[in-house]
Amino acid sequence: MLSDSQRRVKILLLLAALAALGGYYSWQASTKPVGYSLCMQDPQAYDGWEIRMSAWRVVALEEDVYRVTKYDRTAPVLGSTQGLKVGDTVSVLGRFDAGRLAVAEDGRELHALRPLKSALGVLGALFFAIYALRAFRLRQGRLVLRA
Amino acid sequence: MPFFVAGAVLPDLLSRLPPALLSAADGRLVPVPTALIHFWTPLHLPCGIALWCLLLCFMVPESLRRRALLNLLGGGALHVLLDLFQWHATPTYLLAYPFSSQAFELGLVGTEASVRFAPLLALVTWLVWRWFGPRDEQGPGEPTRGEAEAPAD
Repeated sequence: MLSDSQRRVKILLLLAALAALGGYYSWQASTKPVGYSLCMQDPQAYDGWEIRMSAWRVVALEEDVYRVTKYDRTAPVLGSTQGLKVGDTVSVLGRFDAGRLAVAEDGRELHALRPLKSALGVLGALFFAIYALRAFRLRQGRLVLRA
Repeated sequence: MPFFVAGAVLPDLLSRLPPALLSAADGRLVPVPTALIHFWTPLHLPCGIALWCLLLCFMVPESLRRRALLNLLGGGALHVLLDLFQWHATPTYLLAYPFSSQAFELGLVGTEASVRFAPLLALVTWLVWRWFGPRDEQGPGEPTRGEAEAPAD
């Protein structure tokens, strides 16, 4: 299975499998409504439905209402805006309010360290790039260890 | 060791970097469909990790392939294991995807807990690397190539 025989065919099959996996996931994620978007399809039926929102970005603040977004979805959340600012990342536990077409917040976690985590991620990627250049090299189209 | 490190780092790089770049380009350069941003997520799931580990191992010579694959898979497994300790409002780890969409995580630490431990872990990693990492096999008395080629005064 790991031999060089039919290597190109195996590579193409693996690429096709990865593309199929990514395509299937993105089709599901884009077309299957969940959480707030599911509730908005039939608001009365989902009144009081539990909604969990993980790491959404705050895009607008109003009095006792804030708007959060993730990918192409935006939702209003009924809750205190104290301590929040535009650009913050929050996780929200709440229930769908059919009367106001919003998520009534029961609990919230502010991800205050998210920008620092992103910066560390970039730093890690840079370190890895330098390490990979020092550890690997290409020889006759194959990846080999330098040592 | 380098393949193990690659296996540990690549799940995040492959699944987060392209969507981050696409999200940055969206609206500024070209409109990017959301489906194209979701496309990369499975590269962070066990099935996707196994597939790209297999793909990568075919980039190395046959004599090194089995060892490279085991190291890549080991690094990927360590990454998933550590991620499973996190808590998300909506559990995100679909361990058996695409065969099951049941999400699982242990939920013991917050998603930013790693930031607090990062400086200490970086120090420990550096110390371990210094003590147990690859050694320069060149003896201290031997001149480097540059020194050997330098003209004598």
